[in-house]
Amino acid sequence: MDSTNISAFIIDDEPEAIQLLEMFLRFFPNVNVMGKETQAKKGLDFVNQNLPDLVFLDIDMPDMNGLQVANHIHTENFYSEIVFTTAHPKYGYDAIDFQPLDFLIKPFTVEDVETVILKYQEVAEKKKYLRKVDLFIHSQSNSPKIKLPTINGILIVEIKDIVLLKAKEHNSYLYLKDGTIETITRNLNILAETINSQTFFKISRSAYINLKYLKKLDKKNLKCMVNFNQSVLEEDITKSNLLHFEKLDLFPPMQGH
Amino acid sequence: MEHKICVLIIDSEPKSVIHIQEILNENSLIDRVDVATDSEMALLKVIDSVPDIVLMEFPFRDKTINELYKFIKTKLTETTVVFISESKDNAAQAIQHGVYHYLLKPIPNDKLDKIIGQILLLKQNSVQLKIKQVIEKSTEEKRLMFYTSKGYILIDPEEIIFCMADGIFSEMYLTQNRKEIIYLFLSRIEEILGSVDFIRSNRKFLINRKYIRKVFKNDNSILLFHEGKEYIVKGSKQHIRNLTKLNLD
Repeated sequence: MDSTNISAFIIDDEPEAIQLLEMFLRFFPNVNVMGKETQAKKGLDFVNQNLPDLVFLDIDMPDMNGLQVANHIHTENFYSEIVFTTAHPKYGYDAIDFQPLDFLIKPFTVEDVETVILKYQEVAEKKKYLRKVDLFIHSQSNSPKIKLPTINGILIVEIKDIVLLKAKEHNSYLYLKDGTIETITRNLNILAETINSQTFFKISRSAYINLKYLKKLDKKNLKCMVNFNQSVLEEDITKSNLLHFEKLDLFPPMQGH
Repeated sequence: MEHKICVLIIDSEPKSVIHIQEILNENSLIDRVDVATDSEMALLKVIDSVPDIVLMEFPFRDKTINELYKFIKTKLTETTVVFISESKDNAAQAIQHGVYHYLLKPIPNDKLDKIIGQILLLKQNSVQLKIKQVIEKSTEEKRLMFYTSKGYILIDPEEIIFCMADGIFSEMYLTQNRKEIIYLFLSRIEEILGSVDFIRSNRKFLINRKYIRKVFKNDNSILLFHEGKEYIVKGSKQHIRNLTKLNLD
């Protein structure tokens, strides 16, 4: 099995269930259980602040059910992979839209957990590969172009020339390499979906940067600096997005943490 | 580039198959629909058509279908599997198989159409397609020779931003701020360059698509942009309409 470390978090209202899963996970030395929580809400907060690779999530819980937790994780953090753990297969139909990595039906075995780990490794590899391909494509001289709607017509740009996307009410601002700023009549999320490139990284609810132009990250003041037309723009980055950036493992760190 | 979707239905129930076929026939994104009612037929059809979407009856009727599913999942990475089922009870199993499209019979039109729309988008954005585009564009382009008042000029079409008709001559606006008078009718240049991404935006202009930056609907004009310099040319209503459609084809 691959030795890359995988961080995991367990949310289950039954302590015995947590114990058993933890015992299973001990069979996999590359899996590090970051924490566990019997209260769903507390667990959700932990997950969104620490972005574990894997979240084992029970569904039937008193304060907030697992599907609600998954919904929050899905909208706030697209990093963590969810594995539902439940005694009731009937929840499968409602759970499918969250595209969980797996759905374990209690009582499950250590072999089932092994399947989860293998699946995770496969997904992580695939994501990494796609990111590399995407970076390669957009670094070519003839990189793909995109058509975007503006107030009085359309704008055609090469994706690699876009430095920054910023939300402006229902529209978005597009900052281009040459220093121009264009207004696109689409909201930020739709714009980001249309561009559909892994080189664009979400730094906050209202901005995406093209990693190609990223110059500096200020962890203390939560700022990131991007190159823009021979000057530098300073943008706010949220704590969880900064953590996500670090987890992307895109650039080899030159100093240990 | 026209993207159309090819679908294979694997279902042993004739009534269900007819219902799905009816929905698919109404959908203009669908190019081809194949049907297999047993595993042997399904295998042949998968190999023959390499479908974009396989609608599979779930749970699987037999082991062969299960094997076929594994084949699709591992070997046909561009194919999306959609499970169709009588009951919600098997959805958990679908997740375990890594399938997230799960439709209940009788299949609702809107849900199937939505999935098809999503898959078309995926197809248009697929990594394979992007790589193909980059490779195609990176092949070396041949330079062309044109007559000028002083002799000849050798130009790579990439260097031409646009050409403007000037009686029996044409003015060629080139990169690096160069301009040449070419001893040719614009229509003749259009014949030469028409195959390499140039469009005749109206009678007077032949423009390189590569440099189109903005298209204005209000006054039917097109802004070309290169090295910080902007050029405004006119376009016919029809060209403006085509250019402002939001796809890159």
